[in-house]
Amino acid sequence: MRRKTLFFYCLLAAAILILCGIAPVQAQRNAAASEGDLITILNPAVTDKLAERVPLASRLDSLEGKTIYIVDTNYEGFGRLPVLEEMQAWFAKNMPKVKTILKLKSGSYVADDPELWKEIASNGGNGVIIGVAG
Amino acid sequence: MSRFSGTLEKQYGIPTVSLANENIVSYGLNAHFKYNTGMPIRYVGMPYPFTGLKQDMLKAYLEGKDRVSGKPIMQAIVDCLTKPLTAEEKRTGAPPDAAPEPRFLPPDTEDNLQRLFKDKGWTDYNPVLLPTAERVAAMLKGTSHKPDELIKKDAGVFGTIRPFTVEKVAIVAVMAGAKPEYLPVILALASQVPYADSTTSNASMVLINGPIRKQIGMNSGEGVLGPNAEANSVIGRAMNLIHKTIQGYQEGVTGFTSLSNPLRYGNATLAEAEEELPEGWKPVHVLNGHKPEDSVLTLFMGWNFVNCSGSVVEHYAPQLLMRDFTRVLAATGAATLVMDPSVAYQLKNAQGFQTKAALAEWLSKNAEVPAATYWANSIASGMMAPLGKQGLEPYAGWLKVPGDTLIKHLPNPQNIKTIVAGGKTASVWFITDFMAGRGISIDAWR
Repeated sequence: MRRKTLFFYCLLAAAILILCGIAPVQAQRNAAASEGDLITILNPAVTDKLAERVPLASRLDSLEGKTIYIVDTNYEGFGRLPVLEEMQAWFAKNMPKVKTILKLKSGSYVADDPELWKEIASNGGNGVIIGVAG
Repeated sequence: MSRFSGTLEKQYGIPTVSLANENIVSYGLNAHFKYNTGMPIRYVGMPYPFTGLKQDMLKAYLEGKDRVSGKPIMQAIVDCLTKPLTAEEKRTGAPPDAAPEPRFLPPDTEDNLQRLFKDKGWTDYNPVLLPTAERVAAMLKGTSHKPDELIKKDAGVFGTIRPFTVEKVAIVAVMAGAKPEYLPVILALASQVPYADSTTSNASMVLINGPIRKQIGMNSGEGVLGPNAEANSVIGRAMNLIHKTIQGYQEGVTGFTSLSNPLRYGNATLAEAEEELPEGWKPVHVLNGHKPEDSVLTLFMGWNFVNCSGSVVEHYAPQLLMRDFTRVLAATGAATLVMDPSVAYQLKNAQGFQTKAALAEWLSKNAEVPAATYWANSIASGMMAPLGKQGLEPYAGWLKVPGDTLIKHLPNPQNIKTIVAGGKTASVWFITDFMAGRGISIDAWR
Protein backbone atom coordinates (compact mmCIF):
# COMPACT_ATOMS: atom_id res chain seq x y z
CA MET A 1 0.00 0.00 0.00
CA ARG A 2 2.82 2.40 0.99
CA ARG A 3 4.64 1.43 -2.21
CA LYS A 4 1.48 2.19 -4.25
CA THR A 5 1.14 5.60 -2.57
CA LEU A 6 4.77 6.38 -3.27
CA PHE A 7 4.32 5.38 -6.91
CA PHE A 8 1.26 7.64 -7.22
CA TYR A 9 3.15 10.64 -5.82
CA CYS A 10 6.08 9.94 -8.14
CA LEU A 11 3.72 9.93 -11.10
CA LEU A 12 2.09 13.14 -9.89
CA ALA A 13 5.47 14.84 -9.47
CA ALA A 14 6.55 13.70 -12.91
CA ALA A 15 3.32 15.01 -14.40
CA ILE A 16 3.80 18.39 -12.72
CA LEU A 17 7.38 18.59 -13.93
CA ILE A 18 6.37 17.70 -17.46
CA LEU A 19 3.50 20.17 -17.44
CA CYS A 20 5.67 22.92 -15.98
CA GLY A 21 8.14 22.33 -18.74
CA ILE A 22 5.64 22.08 -21.51
CA ALA A 23 3.39 25.00 -20.53
CA PRO A 24 6.00 27.75 -21.06
CA VAL A 25 6.97 26.18 -24.37
CA GLN A 26 3.31 26.14 -25.41
CA ALA A 27 2.86 29.77 -24.30
CA GLN A 28 5.90 30.74 -26.31
CA ARG A 29 4.47 28.93 -29.31
CA ASN A 30 1.09 30.67 -28.89
CA ALA A 31 2.72 34.06 -28.61
CA ALA A 32 4.78 33.39 -31.71
CA ALA A 33 1.64 32.24 -33.54
CA SER A 34 -0.28 35.39 -32.46
CA GLU A 35 2.44 37.68 -33.67
CA GLY A 36 2.57 35.80 -36.92
CA ASP A 37 -1.22 36.16 -37.31
CA LEU A 38 -1.21 39.92 -36.97
CA ILE A 39 -2.22 41.63 -40.19
CA THR A 40 -1.49 45.15 -41.33
CA ILE A 41 -4.16 46.57 -43.58
CA LEU A 42 -5.13 49.85 -45.17
CA ASN A 43 -7.63 52.10 -43.47
CA PRO A 44 -10.92 52.61 -45.30
CA ALA A 45 -11.91 55.63 -43.19
CA VAL A 46 -12.16 59.07 -44.77
CA THR A 47 -11.30 62.20 -42.80
CA ASP A 48 -14.16 64.60 -42.16
CA LYS A 49 -13.56 68.33 -42.13
CA LEU A 50 -15.21 70.28 -39.35
CA ALA A 51 -17.31 73.27 -40.42
CA GLU A 52 -16.28 76.81 -39.52
CA ARG A 53 -18.15 77.93 -36.44
CA VAL A 54 -20.91 80.50 -36.85
CA PRO A 55 -22.36 82.13 -33.71
CA LEU A 56 -26.06 82.45 -33.01
CA ALA A 57 -27.79 85.82 -32.92
CA SER A 58 -28.24 87.40 -29.49
CA ARG A 59 -31.35 86.23 -27.68
CA LEU A 60 -34.26 88.40 -26.51
CA ASP A 61 -34.60 89.59 -22.90
CA SER A 62 -38.17 88.38 -22.95
CA LEU A 63 -40.97 87.84 -25.45
CA GLU A 64 -43.24 90.46 -23.86
CA GLY A 65 -44.23 93.04 -26.46
CA LYS A 66 -42.21 91.31 -29.15
CA THR A 67 -43.24 90.15 -32.61
CA ILE A 68 -42.60 86.48 -33.17
CA TYR A 69 -43.07 84.95 -36.60
CA ILE A 70 -44.14 81.34 -36.79
CA VAL A 71 -42.93 80.11 -40.16
CA ASP A 72 -44.37 77.00 -41.72
CA THR A 73 -41.76 75.38 -43.97
CA ASN A 74 -44.57 73.95 -46.13
CA TYR A 75 -43.54 70.46 -45.18
CA GLU A 76 -46.62 68.88 -46.72
CA GLY A 77 -46.89 71.28 -49.63
CA PHE A 78 -50.52 72.08 -48.92
CA GLY A 79 -50.23 74.97 -46.55
CA ARG A 80 -50.25 75.66 -42.88
CA LEU A 81 -49.88 72.81 -40.49
CA PRO A 82 -52.53 72.73 -37.76
CA VAL A 83 -49.87 72.15 -35.11
CA LEU A 84 -48.42 75.59 -35.83
CA GLU A 85 -51.87 77.17 -35.73
CA GLU A 86 -52.32 75.52 -32.37
CA MET A 87 -49.02 77.01 -31.28
CA GLN A 88 -50.22 80.47 -32.26
CA ALA A 89 -53.39 79.89 -30.24
CA TRP A 90 -51.25 78.89 -27.24
CA PHE A 91 -49.42 82.22 -27.37
CA ALA A 92 -52.71 84.14 -27.63
CA LYS A 93 -53.98 82.38 -24.53
CA ASN A 94 -50.85 82.10 -22.39
CA MET A 95 -48.67 85.02 -23.49
CA PRO A 96 -51.12 87.56 -24.92
CA LYS A 97 -48.53 90.34 -24.99
CA VAL A 98 -46.58 88.46 -27.61
CA LYS A 99 -47.64 89.32 -31.15
CA THR A 100 -47.43 86.25 -33.37
CA ILE A 101 -47.63 86.19 -37.14
CA LEU A 102 -48.05 82.87 -38.91
CA LYS A 103 -46.43 82.73 -42.34
CA LEU A 104 -46.22 80.02 -44.95
CA LYS A 105 -42.86 79.77 -46.66
CA SER A 106 -43.22 79.62 -50.43
CA GLY A 107 -41.93 76.71 -52.46
CA SER A 108 -41.33 73.20 -51.23
CA TYR A 109 -39.95 72.54 -47.76
CA VAL A 110 -36.41 72.44 -49.14
CA ALA A 111 -36.70 75.64 -51.22
CA ASP A 112 -35.27 78.87 -49.85
CA ASP A 113 -37.53 81.95 -49.51
CA PRO A 114 -35.25 85.00 -49.29
CA GLU A 115 -38.21 87.37 -49.77
CA LEU A 116 -39.83 86.07 -46.60
CA TRP A 117 -36.66 86.46 -44.54
CA LYS A 118 -36.36 90.04 -45.80
CA GLU A 119 -40.02 90.69 -45.00
CA ILE A 120 -39.64 89.38 -41.45
CA ALA A 121 -36.59 91.57 -40.86
CA SER A 122 -38.08 94.71 -42.39
CA ASN A 123 -41.38 94.29 -40.53
CA GLY A 124 -39.66 94.19 -37.16
CA GLY A 125 -39.73 90.48 -36.51
CA ASN A 126 -37.91 89.93 -33.21
CA GLY A 127 -37.79 86.17 -33.29
CA VAL A 128 -38.79 83.23 -35.48
CA ILE A 129 -40.19 79.82 -34.69
CA ILE A 130 -39.63 77.69 -37.76
CA GLY A 131 -40.93 74.22 -38.42
CA VAL A 132 -41.39 71.51 -39.11
CA ALA A 133 -39.01 68.91 -40.45
CA GLY A 134 -39.73 65.24 -40.12
CA MET B 1 -34.61 73.95 -42.35
CA SER B 2 -31.28 74.68 -40.66
CA ARG B 3 -30.41 76.71 -43.76
CA PHE B 4 -33.37 79.02 -43.13
CA SER B 5 -32.53 79.42 -39.44
CA GLY B 6 -28.93 80.06 -40.41
CA THR B 7 -29.91 82.89 -42.75
CA LEU B 8 -32.16 84.54 -40.17
CA GLU B 9 -29.58 84.25 -37.38
CA LYS B 10 -26.49 85.19 -39.35
CA GLN B 11 -27.74 87.61 -42.00
CA TYR B 12 -30.53 89.34 -40.06
CA GLY B 13 -29.49 88.80 -36.44
CA ILE B 14 -32.90 87.35 -35.59
CA PRO B 15 -33.01 84.57 -32.98
CA THR B 16 -34.76 81.42 -34.11
CA VAL B 17 -35.90 78.07 -32.81
CA SER B 18 -36.29 75.13 -35.19
CA LEU B 19 -38.96 72.48 -34.68
CA ALA B 20 -38.35 68.98 -35.91
CA ASN B 21 -38.88 65.38 -34.94
CA GLU B 22 -36.30 63.97 -32.60
CA ASN B 23 -34.24 62.13 -35.24
CA ILE B 24 -33.81 65.26 -37.32
CA VAL B 25 -32.98 67.18 -34.15
CA SER B 26 -30.33 64.64 -33.26
CA TYR B 27 -28.79 65.01 -36.72
CA GLY B 28 -29.03 68.82 -36.55
CA LEU B 29 -27.34 69.01 -33.16
CA ASN B 30 -24.58 66.57 -34.03
CA ALA B 31 -23.30 65.64 -37.49
CA HIS B 32 -25.01 68.50 -39.34
CA PHE B 33 -23.72 71.09 -36.88
CA LYS B 34 -20.18 69.69 -36.75
CA TYR B 35 -19.58 69.12 -40.43
CA ASN B 36 -22.10 71.24 -42.31
CA THR B 37 -23.48 74.40 -40.71
CA GLY B 38 -21.05 75.09 -37.87
CA MET B 39 -23.96 76.91 -36.21
CA PRO B 40 -25.34 75.49 -32.95
CA ILE B 41 -28.96 76.08 -33.92
CA ARG B 42 -31.43 75.72 -31.09
CA TYR B 43 -33.94 72.96 -31.70
CA VAL B 44 -37.07 71.74 -30.00
CA GLY B 45 -37.80 68.07 -30.55
CA MET B 46 -41.43 67.50 -31.46
CA PRO B 47 -43.39 64.26 -31.36
CA TYR B 48 -44.07 62.62 -34.72
CA PRO B 49 -46.17 62.59 -36.91
CA PHE B 50 -47.20 66.21 -37.40
CA THR B 51 -50.08 65.59 -39.73
CA GLY B 52 -53.46 63.91 -39.79
CA LEU B 53 -54.10 64.54 -36.10
CA LYS B 54 -57.19 65.77 -34.31
CA GLN B 55 -57.26 69.07 -32.44
CA ASP B 56 -57.08 67.51 -28.98
CA MET B 57 -54.05 65.48 -30.05
CA LEU B 58 -52.30 68.63 -31.25
CA LYS B 59 -52.99 70.30 -27.92
CA ALA B 60 -51.53 67.27 -26.18
CA TYR B 61 -48.44 67.60 -28.39
CA LEU B 62 -47.83 71.13 -27.18
CA GLU B 63 -48.34 70.07 -23.59
CA GLY B 64 -45.78 67.30 -24.06
CA LYS B 65 -42.04 67.41 -23.44
CA ASP B 66 -39.33 68.76 -25.71
CA ARG B 67 -37.15 65.81 -26.77
CA VAL B 68 -34.02 67.95 -26.32
CA SER B 69 -34.40 69.72 -22.99
CA GLY B 70 -37.12 67.63 -21.40
CA LYS B 71 -39.09 70.80 -20.66
CA PRO B 72 -42.69 71.37 -21.77
CA ILE B 73 -42.54 72.15 -25.48
CA MET B 74 -43.87 75.72 -25.32
CA GLN B 75 -41.56 76.57 -22.41
CA ALA B 76 -38.65 75.14 -24.39
CA ILE B 77 -39.56 77.31 -27.38
CA VAL B 78 -39.68 80.44 -25.24
CA ASP B 79 -36.35 79.51 -23.64
CA CYS B 80 -34.68 78.96 -27.02
CA LEU B 81 -35.57 82.53 -27.97
CA THR B 82 -34.68 84.14 -24.63
CA LYS B 83 -31.99 82.21 -22.76
CA PRO B 84 -28.63 84.00 -23.15
CA LEU B 85 -26.08 82.43 -25.43
CA THR B 86 -23.48 80.15 -23.96
CA ALA B 87 -19.79 80.60 -24.75
CA GLU B 88 -20.08 77.64 -27.09
CA GLU B 89 -22.94 79.31 -28.98
CA LYS B 90 -20.88 82.48 -29.43
CA ARG B 91 -17.82 80.71 -30.79
CA THR B 92 -16.48 81.74 -34.19
CA GLY B 93 -13.71 80.67 -36.54
CA ALA B 94 -12.38 77.49 -38.02
CA PRO B 95 -11.92 74.65 -35.56
CA PRO B 96 -8.60 72.81 -35.71
CA ASP B 97 -8.55 70.18 -38.41
CA ALA B 98 -9.27 66.69 -37.20
CA ALA B 99 -6.23 64.43 -37.21
CA PRO B 100 -6.10 62.83 -40.64
CA GLU B 101 -6.98 59.16 -40.76
CA PRO B 102 -3.73 57.11 -40.88
CA ARG B 103 -3.15 55.22 -44.12
CA PHE B 104 -2.72 51.93 -42.24
CA LEU B 105 -4.59 50.53 -39.26
CA PRO B 106 -2.61 49.19 -36.29
CA PRO B 107 -1.70 45.51 -36.86
CA ASP B 108 -4.22 43.08 -35.41
CA THR B 109 -5.68 39.63 -35.91
CA GLU B 110 -8.15 38.83 -38.68
CA ASP B 111 -10.97 38.33 -36.17
CA ASN B 112 -10.27 41.59 -34.35
CA LEU B 113 -10.08 43.54 -37.61
CA GLN B 114 -13.33 42.03 -38.87
CA ARG B 115 -14.90 43.09 -35.57
CA LEU B 116 -13.37 46.56 -35.82
CA PHE B 117 -14.80 47.07 -39.32
CA LYS B 118 -18.25 46.12 -38.09
CA ASP B 119 -17.97 48.28 -34.96
CA LYS B 120 -16.90 51.27 -37.04
CA GLY B 121 -19.87 50.81 -39.37
CA TRP B 122 -17.67 50.25 -42.43
CA THR B 123 -19.39 47.06 -43.56
CA ASP B 124 -22.77 45.61 -44.44
CA TYR B 125 -22.21 43.24 -41.49
CA ASN B 126 -21.15 40.40 -43.73
CA PRO B 127 -17.44 39.54 -43.55
CA VAL B 128 -15.27 41.64 -45.83
CA LEU B 129 -11.97 40.80 -47.49
CA LEU B 130 -9.43 42.72 -45.44
CA PRO B 131 -7.59 45.34 -47.53
CA THR B 132 -3.96 44.31 -47.19
CA ALA B 133 -1.38 46.35 -49.07
CA GLU B 134 -0.90 43.46 -51.52
CA ARG B 135 -4.62 43.14 -52.25
CA VAL B 136 -5.08 46.89 -52.69
CA ALA B 137 -2.04 47.08 -54.98
CA ALA B 138 -3.46 44.25 -57.08
CA MET B 139 -6.84 46.02 -57.20
CA LEU B 140 -5.21 49.25 -58.35
CA LYS B 141 -3.94 47.41 -61.43
CA GLY B 142 -7.54 47.65 -62.64
CA THR B 143 -7.16 51.37 -63.38
CA SER B 144 -4.57 53.69 -64.89
CA HIS B 145 -5.42 56.34 -62.30
CA LYS B 146 -2.89 57.08 -59.58
CA PRO B 147 -3.79 55.90 -56.05
CA ASP B 148 -3.50 59.40 -54.61
CA GLU B 149 -5.73 61.03 -57.22
CA LEU B 150 -8.51 62.99 -55.53
CA ILE B 151 -11.91 61.91 -56.83
CA LYS B 152 -14.15 64.28 -54.91
CA LYS B 153 -14.03 66.56 -51.90
CA ASP B 154 -17.67 67.00 -50.94
CA ALA B 155 -18.53 63.33 -50.56
CA GLY B 156 -20.40 63.50 -47.26
CA VAL B 157 -24.11 63.67 -46.51
CA PHE B 158 -25.47 67.00 -47.84
CA GLY B 159 -22.07 67.60 -49.44
CA THR B 160 -19.95 67.85 -46.30
CA ILE B 161 -16.21 67.77 -46.90
CA ARG B 162 -14.90 64.20 -46.99
CA PRO B 163 -12.18 64.13 -49.66
CA PHE B 164 -11.36 60.68 -51.00
CA THR B 165 -8.86 59.21 -53.42
CA VAL B 166 -8.64 56.36 -55.90
CA GLU B 167 -6.87 54.30 -53.22
CA LYS B 168 -9.83 54.63 -50.84
CA VAL B 169 -12.12 53.25 -53.53
CA ALA B 170 -9.70 50.40 -54.23
CA ILE B 171 -9.78 49.57 -50.51
CA VAL B 172 -13.57 49.39 -50.64
CA ALA B 173 -13.42 47.30 -53.81
CA VAL B 174 -11.18 44.78 -52.04
CA MET B 175 -13.52 44.72 -49.05
CA ALA B 176 -16.50 44.01 -51.34
CA GLY B 177 -14.68 41.10 -52.98
CA ALA B 178 -14.19 42.77 -56.36
CA LYS B 179 -11.83 41.69 -59.10
CA PRO B 180 -9.42 44.36 -60.39
CA GLU B 181 -11.33 44.53 -63.68
CA TYR B 182 -14.41 45.75 -61.77
CA LEU B 183 -12.53 48.75 -60.43
CA PRO B 184 -13.38 51.22 -63.25
CA VAL B 185 -17.08 50.55 -62.63
CA ILE B 186 -16.65 50.99 -58.88
CA LEU B 187 -14.67 54.20 -59.38
CA ALA B 188 -17.43 55.56 -61.63
CA LEU B 189 -19.94 54.60 -58.96
CA ALA B 190 -17.88 56.28 -56.24
CA SER B 191 -17.67 59.49 -58.26
CA GLN B 192 -21.45 59.86 -57.80
CA VAL B 193 -21.47 60.24 -54.00
CA PRO B 194 -23.26 61.48 -52.01
CA TYR B 195 -26.02 59.06 -52.90
CA ALA B 196 -29.61 60.08 -52.31
CA ASP B 197 -30.88 59.36 -48.80
CA SER B 198 -34.24 60.09 -47.30
CA THR B 199 -36.29 59.38 -44.21
CA THR B 200 -38.62 57.68 -46.71
CA SER B 201 -37.83 54.41 -48.48
CA ASN B 202 -35.87 55.39 -51.55
CA ALA B 203 -33.34 53.15 -53.24
CA SER B 204 -30.92 53.11 -56.14
CA MET B 205 -30.55 51.05 -59.27
CA VAL B 206 -27.21 50.68 -61.08
CA LEU B 207 -27.28 50.00 -64.82
CA ILE B 208 -24.19 49.13 -66.85
CA ASN B 209 -24.14 49.46 -70.62
CA GLY B 210 -21.48 49.00 -73.26
CA PRO B 211 -18.58 46.61 -73.80
CA ILE B 212 -17.50 46.43 -70.16
CA ARG B 213 -20.55 44.31 -69.40
CA LYS B 214 -19.02 41.37 -71.26
CA GLN B 215 -15.45 42.18 -70.27
CA ILE B 216 -16.18 41.79 -66.57
CA GLY B 217 -18.85 39.12 -66.89
CA MET B 218 -21.86 41.11 -65.81
CA ASN B 219 -25.15 39.31 -65.99
CA SER B 220 -27.85 40.73 -68.24
CA GLY B 221 -29.72 37.46 -68.68
CA GLU B 222 -31.24 34.81 -66.47
CA GLY B 223 -31.55 35.91 -62.85
CA VAL B 224 -30.27 39.38 -63.70
CA LEU B 225 -31.84 41.09 -60.69
CA GLY B 226 -31.14 38.25 -58.28
CA PRO B 227 -28.15 37.57 -56.03
CA ASN B 228 -26.52 34.88 -58.18
CA ALA B 229 -24.18 36.77 -60.50
CA GLU B 230 -20.72 37.63 -59.23
CA ALA B 231 -20.03 40.98 -60.88
CA ASN B 232 -23.57 42.29 -60.32
CA SER B 233 -23.55 41.23 -56.65
CA VAL B 234 -20.09 42.55 -55.86
CA ILE B 235 -20.58 45.92 -57.59
CA GLY B 236 -23.93 46.34 -55.85
CA ARG B 237 -22.28 45.53 -52.54
CA ALA B 238 -19.44 47.94 -53.25
CA MET B 239 -21.99 50.73 -53.57
CA ASN B 240 -23.18 50.05 -50.02
CA LEU B 241 -19.62 50.01 -48.68
CA ILE B 242 -18.87 53.30 -50.50
CA HIS B 243 -22.02 54.72 -48.93
CA LYS B 244 -20.77 53.76 -45.48
CA THR B 245 -17.03 54.39 -45.64
CA ILE B 246 -16.67 57.23 -48.14
CA GLN B 247 -19.98 59.05 -47.74
CA GLY B 248 -20.00 58.28 -44.03
CA TYR B 249 -23.60 57.11 -43.80
CA GLN B 250 -24.49 55.78 -40.38
CA GLU B 251 -28.04 54.87 -39.54
CA GLY B 252 -29.30 57.08 -36.73
CA VAL B 253 -26.28 59.40 -36.96
CA THR B 254 -26.05 60.82 -40.46
CA GLY B 255 -29.19 59.25 -41.90
CA PHE B 256 -32.64 58.41 -40.63
CA THR B 257 -34.75 56.20 -42.83
CA SER B 258 -37.81 54.70 -41.20
CA LEU B 259 -38.11 51.43 -43.13
CA SER B 260 -35.30 51.78 -45.67
CA ASN B 261 -35.73 49.56 -48.71
CA PRO B 262 -34.73 45.93 -49.37
CA LEU B 263 -33.48 46.97 -52.81
CA ARG B 264 -30.56 48.58 -51.00
CA TYR B 265 -29.01 45.16 -50.33
CA GLY B 266 -27.82 44.86 -53.93
CA ASN B 267 -28.92 48.21 -55.37
CA ALA B 268 -30.61 46.39 -58.28
CA THR B 269 -27.29 46.24 -60.13
CA LEU B 270 -27.73 44.96 -63.67
CA ALA B 271 -26.46 45.13 -67.21
CA GLU B 272 -28.73 45.74 -70.16
CA ALA B 273 -29.13 42.83 -72.58
CA GLU B 274 -28.18 45.02 -75.53
CA GLU B 275 -27.84 42.02 -77.85
CA GLU B 276 -31.46 41.08 -77.13
CA LEU B 277 -32.97 44.46 -77.96
CA PRO B 278 -35.49 44.33 -80.79
CA GLU B 279 -34.43 46.17 -83.91
CA GLY B 280 -35.01 49.89 -83.45
CA TRP B 281 -34.82 49.68 -79.65
CA LYS B 282 -31.60 51.34 -78.53
CA PRO B 283 -29.66 50.78 -75.30
CA VAL B 284 -30.24 53.21 -72.44
CA HIS B 285 -26.79 54.79 -72.71
CA VAL B 286 -27.18 55.44 -76.45
CA LEU B 287 -30.54 57.12 -75.84
CA ASN B 288 -28.74 59.31 -73.30
CA GLY B 289 -26.30 60.50 -75.94
CA HIS B 290 -23.40 58.09 -75.46
CA LYS B 291 -21.89 56.01 -78.23
CA PRO B 292 -22.71 52.29 -78.44
CA GLU B 293 -19.04 51.44 -77.86
CA ASP B 294 -18.89 53.55 -74.69
CA SER B 295 -19.11 51.79 -71.35
CA VAL B 296 -21.51 53.76 -69.19
CA LEU B 297 -22.94 53.58 -65.69
CA THR B 298 -26.40 55.02 -65.19
CA LEU B 299 -27.60 55.59 -61.66
CA PHE B 300 -31.33 55.56 -61.01
CA MET B 301 -33.16 56.64 -57.86
CA GLY B 302 -36.70 55.94 -56.82
CA TRP B 303 -39.06 54.32 -54.36
CA ASN B 304 -41.19 51.60 -55.95
CA PHE B 305 -40.23 48.49 -57.86
CA VAL B 306 -43.50 46.88 -58.89
CA ASN B 307 -43.52 43.31 -60.11
CA CYS B 308 -45.95 42.24 -62.86
CA SER B 309 -46.02 38.86 -61.04
CA GLY B 310 -46.95 36.37 -63.77
CA SER B 311 -46.11 36.29 -67.45
CA VAL B 312 -47.77 38.40 -70.12
CA VAL B 313 -51.20 37.00 -70.98
CA GLU B 314 -52.98 36.65 -74.29
CA HIS B 315 -56.09 38.67 -73.35
CA TYR B 316 -54.46 41.79 -71.90
CA ALA B 317 -51.57 43.47 -73.70
CA PRO B 318 -48.49 44.15 -71.55
CA GLN B 319 -48.59 47.92 -72.02
CA LEU B 320 -52.14 47.99 -70.57
CA LEU B 321 -51.03 46.36 -67.34
CA MET B 322 -47.95 48.62 -67.24
CA ARG B 323 -50.29 51.59 -67.56
CA ASP B 324 -52.50 50.28 -64.75
CA PHE B 325 -49.56 49.60 -62.45
CA THR B 326 -48.23 53.16 -62.78
CA ARG B 327 -50.94 54.17 -60.31
CA VAL B 328 -48.91 53.05 -57.33
CA LEU B 329 -45.72 54.84 -58.32
CA ALA B 330 -44.28 57.65 -56.25
CA ALA B 331 -45.68 60.51 -58.32
CA THR B 332 -42.29 61.79 -59.39
CA GLY B 333 -43.42 61.98 -63.01
CA ALA B 334 -40.80 59.38 -63.87
CA ALA B 335 -41.02 55.69 -64.62
CA THR B 336 -38.47 53.05 -65.54
CA LEU B 337 -39.46 49.69 -66.94
CA VAL B 338 -37.23 46.67 -66.62
CA MET B 339 -38.48 43.99 -69.00
CA ASP B 340 -37.48 40.58 -70.22
CA PRO B 341 -36.40 40.49 -73.89
CA SER B 342 -39.51 38.40 -74.63
CA VAL B 343 -41.72 41.29 -73.45
CA ALA B 344 -39.77 43.74 -75.59
CA TYR B 345 -40.26 41.34 -78.52
CA GLN B 346 -44.02 41.27 -77.94
CA LEU B 347 -44.28 45.02 -77.54
CA LYS B 348 -42.36 45.57 -80.75
CA ASN B 349 -43.78 42.85 -82.94
CA ALA B 350 -47.27 42.23 -81.58
CA GLN B 351 -48.14 45.69 -80.22
CA GLY B 352 -46.28 47.82 -82.75
CA PHE B 353 -43.96 49.84 -80.51
CA GLN B 354 -41.09 50.35 -82.92
CA THR B 355 -38.89 52.11 -80.37
CA LYS B 356 -38.57 52.56 -76.63
CA ALA B 357 -39.65 56.17 -77.21
CA ALA B 358 -42.91 55.01 -78.80
CA LEU B 359 -43.72 52.99 -75.68
CA ALA B 360 -42.84 55.98 -73.50
CA GLU B 361 -45.13 58.23 -75.58
CA TRP B 362 -47.99 55.78 -75.24
CA LEU B 363 -47.58 55.44 -71.49
CA SER B 364 -47.33 59.18 -71.08
CA LYS B 365 -50.62 59.63 -72.93
CA ASN B 366 -52.48 56.78 -71.29
CA ALA B 367 -51.23 56.42 -67.72
CA GLU B 368 -53.75 58.07 -65.39
CA VAL B 369 -54.35 58.35 -61.70
CA PRO B 370 -57.07 60.12 -59.68
CA ALA B 371 -55.87 63.56 -58.61
CA ALA B 372 -56.58 62.74 -54.96
CA THR B 373 -54.39 59.64 -55.13
CA TYR B 374 -51.63 61.63 -56.76
CA TRP B 375 -51.70 64.39 -54.15
CA ALA B 376 -51.98 61.91 -51.28
CA ASN B 377 -48.38 61.00 -51.93
CA SER B 378 -46.14 63.32 -49.94
CA ILE B 379 -43.40 63.15 -52.57
CA ALA B 380 -45.89 64.84 -54.90
CA SER B 381 -47.53 67.12 -52.36
CA GLY B 382 -44.29 68.23 -50.76
CA MET B 383 -42.42 68.94 -53.97
CA MET B 384 -44.99 69.48 -56.75
CA ALA B 385 -47.90 71.20 -54.96
CA PRO B 386 -45.80 74.30 -54.14
CA LEU B 387 -44.83 74.47 -57.82
CA GLY B 388 -48.51 74.23 -58.76
CA LYS B 389 -49.35 77.02 -56.34
CA GLN B 390 -46.77 79.15 -58.09
CA GLY B 391 -48.67 78.52 -61.35
CA LEU B 392 -46.46 75.88 -62.89
CA GLU B 393 -48.37 73.48 -65.13
CA PRO B 394 -49.44 70.74 -65.11
CA TYR B 395 -49.40 70.89 -61.30
CA ALA B 396 -51.45 74.12 -61.12
CA GLY B 397 -54.23 72.48 -63.12
CA TRP B 398 -54.06 69.26 -61.13
CA LEU B 399 -54.55 71.23 -57.91
CA LYS B 400 -57.81 72.69 -59.23
CA VAL B 401 -59.59 69.53 -60.36
CA PRO B 402 -61.88 67.38 -58.16
CA GLY B 403 -60.09 64.51 -56.44
CA ASP B 404 -61.66 61.82 -58.60
CA THR B 405 -60.53 63.45 -61.86
CA LEU B 406 -58.04 61.30 -63.71
CA ILE B 407 -54.80 63.11 -64.43
CA LYS B 408 -52.01 62.04 -66.76
CA HIS B 409 -49.27 61.80 -64.18
CA LEU B 410 -46.36 60.93 -66.46
CA PRO B 411 -46.51 64.09 -68.56
CA ASN B 412 -43.01 63.94 -70.02
CA PRO B 413 -42.19 60.81 -72.06
CA GLN B 414 -38.50 61.69 -71.78
CA ASN B 415 -38.76 60.66 -68.14
CA ILE B 416 -39.97 57.16 -69.01
CA LYS B 417 -37.08 54.75 -69.56
CA THR B 418 -36.95 51.12 -70.60
CA ILE B 419 -34.23 48.63 -69.72
CA VAL B 420 -34.25 45.24 -71.41
CA ALA B 421 -32.71 42.40 -69.41
CA GLY B 422 -33.60 38.88 -68.35
CA GLY B 423 -33.34 35.24 -69.31
CA LYS B 424 -36.39 34.74 -71.57
CA THR B 425 -37.71 32.08 -69.26
CA ALA B 426 -40.85 34.12 -68.54
CA SER B 427 -42.39 37.22 -70.13
CA VAL B 428 -42.07 39.32 -67.00
CA TRP B 429 -41.37 42.94 -66.19
CA PHE B 430 -41.10 45.47 -63.41
CA ILE B 431 -42.40 49.01 -63.50
CA THR B 432 -40.67 51.45 -61.20
CA ASP B 433 -40.78 55.14 -60.41
CA PHE B 434 -37.01 55.32 -60.72
CA MET B 435 -35.56 58.49 -62.20
CA ALA B 436 -32.54 58.07 -64.44
CA GLY B 437 -29.32 60.03 -64.43
CA ARG B 438 -27.64 60.94 -67.71
CA GLY B 439 -25.05 58.19 -67.43
CA ILE B 440 -21.35 58.59 -66.71
CA SER B 441 -18.33 57.18 -68.46
CA ILE B 442 -16.75 54.04 -67.06
CA ASP B 443 -14.02 54.26 -69.69
CA ALA B 444 -12.74 57.43 -68.03
CA TRP B 445 -11.87 55.30 -65.02
CA ARG B 446 -10.07 52.48 -66.83
